[in-house]
Amino acid sequence: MASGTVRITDQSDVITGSAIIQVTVARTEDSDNAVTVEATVDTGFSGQLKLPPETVESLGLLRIGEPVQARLANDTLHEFAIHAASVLIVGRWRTVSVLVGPGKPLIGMALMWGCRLTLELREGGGVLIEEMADDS
Amino acid sequence: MAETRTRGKSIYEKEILPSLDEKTDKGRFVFIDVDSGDYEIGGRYMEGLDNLLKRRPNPSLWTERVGYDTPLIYDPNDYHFRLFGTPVEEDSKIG
Repeated sequence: MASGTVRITDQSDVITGSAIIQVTVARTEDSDNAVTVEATVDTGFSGQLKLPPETVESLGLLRIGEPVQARLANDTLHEFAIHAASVLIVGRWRTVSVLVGPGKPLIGMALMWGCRLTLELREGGGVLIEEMADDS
Repeated sequence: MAETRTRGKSIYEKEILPSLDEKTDKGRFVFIDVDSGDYEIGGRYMEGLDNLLKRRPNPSLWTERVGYDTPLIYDPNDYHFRLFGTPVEEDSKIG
């Protein structure tokens, strides 16, 4: 189980709520330089994890294959490098693919796949990601 | 990156692919350290990378996925995430 908080962010004249959850990221689960980042739960992001280039560089995350094209929410296509990381979420480490791009860290559908996601959509509301039994 | 790609593809095609069954092994990740030639044939998730990194902490890494041209495919025109780590056999659109 992983828990977080729904936060209101005031960006100029637009007030939006975000579901924030802390995830621990490292090159491998044995690395001594793991960092904990605040990631936004993004159900419109189909990948596993997006991290800014500074984080990818400081952790020394290894590059996987060649860059991929991805379409962003504003309908523009961008090229993203893909790296690999170990991520501690829902109480266990997993090796995942990381899209490298500017802006805040995101966790996407592929990282939460197989889990139950509960959001209390009000200021200070809870964010809960739990593993489901296979038959639920 | 270009040299890593050339050497990685050569190791994969000459030394690894002949021992694999393109049908039953389809979708498995293969992680190769092109400097040492050491490699790890993983499963359909990316977990196998950890085993290679235990032996080769700083690899010149090349990654292949059995049966695909590229290890991670992202279709920019589709809401599509399966190739980021879920078993590909569930995905009838690919392959």
